[in-house]
Amino acid sequence: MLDIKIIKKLTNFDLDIEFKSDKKLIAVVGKSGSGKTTFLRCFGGFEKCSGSIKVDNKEWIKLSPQKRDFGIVFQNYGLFPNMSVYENLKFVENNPQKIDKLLKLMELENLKNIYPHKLSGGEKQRVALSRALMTNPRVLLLDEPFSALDYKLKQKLYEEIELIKQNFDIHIILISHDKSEVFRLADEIIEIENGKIINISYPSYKIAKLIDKKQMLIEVNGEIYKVE
Amino acid sequence: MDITLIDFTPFIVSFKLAFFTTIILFVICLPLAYVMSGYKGKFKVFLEALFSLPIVLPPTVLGYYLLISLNKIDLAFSFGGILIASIIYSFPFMFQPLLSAIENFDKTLIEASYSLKKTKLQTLRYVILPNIKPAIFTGIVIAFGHTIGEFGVVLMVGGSIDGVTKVASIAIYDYSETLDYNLANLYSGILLVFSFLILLVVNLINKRLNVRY
Repeated sequence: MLDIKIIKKLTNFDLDIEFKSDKKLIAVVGKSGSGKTTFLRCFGGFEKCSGSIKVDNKEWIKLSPQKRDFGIVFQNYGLFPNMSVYENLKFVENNPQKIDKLLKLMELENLKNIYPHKLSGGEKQRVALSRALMTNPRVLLLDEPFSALDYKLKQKLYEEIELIKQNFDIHIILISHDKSEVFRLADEIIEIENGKIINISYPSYKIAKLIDKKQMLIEVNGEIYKVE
Repeated sequence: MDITLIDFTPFIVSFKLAFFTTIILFVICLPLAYVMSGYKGKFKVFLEALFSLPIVLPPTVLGYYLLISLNKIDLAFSFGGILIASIIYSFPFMFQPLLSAIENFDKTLIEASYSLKKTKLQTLRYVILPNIKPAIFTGIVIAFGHTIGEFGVVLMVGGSIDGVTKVASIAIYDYSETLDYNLANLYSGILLVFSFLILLVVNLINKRLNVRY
């Protein structure tokens, strides 16, 4: 259960995000500069914020990032360049069984000795996801995971996130600037603007019309959206 | 000229001085640069100016103050004295590359490490240091080379005592003063080649390290 109230003074507006949720995947959606990245950084403890962050009744707000029970996949993945795929995971915990299981789940077994600079964007993301899961976190933070991916990789990431939802007892907070990207996955969508929540919805979508192999129109809560 | 008759002691003193100066500077500058990179207080600008002072300060000015200070603790005209002087004089050449590398280091990697429950020390050891190898290497080699070429401060603080404080650059000065141009030429040639090699090696190794990181 997440019980969040994050407050932070920013240059142009004050961030004030408050919500409670027991959903598995919560998407925080907003335009660039709406405060969603600051929200994520406050959640992870990378920026000092006031308010309250309660995860399963445990208060995090005053804890350092190391003491918060979360994993994060950054927009640029944040893989350690001096470590191979395997070593990036081993750095978290020297547990070959656990590492092999995650590498298998994310289809990375053949890449375990490769260094990050030789991986594609999609591969880097899968490594970052696996590494974030190594600590068995209670919350997984995904910062704009779809932004740099093409159609094919987006579809793959949808499947991977579904896989994580099914295999791990975890809350996922996904940050995105594009609402249409998150319909397929999100159990709850929180829309923010100028640091405030403007809408919370619980999407249930149905396909309204197939445009071609890559695009379709879907109906979400009575509204029509074009998605890939 | 019979090369076996040439006294290479000043080079040995120079290398000994450069070796200890470099090691001590690395041990001092690494944690200091790490702390400074995260310091956002009001004294930051003041401290940055203070740490860079030896770059612009005339060696005679620094040498004069050090001579007065070291004389009070009986370290003037000794190897210990020129070692302290060298550490202060070469400080920015080790500190600046390290500070710059840590300040410009991808903060995402540091935050990723924290999110994986790693302490600040573990993050420094396993994430930051291996990824700033080019800057560490540059700092070490430039500080070493700069100490080898030191003249003004060492002359003021240590004088020219054979086998103790007479470094190669002071030997060149002495030979020139006594019109012994053969030895002055030879010593100068050795230092010229050495300095060039240092820069060449720094560039070559940094090029290789940068390809990987």
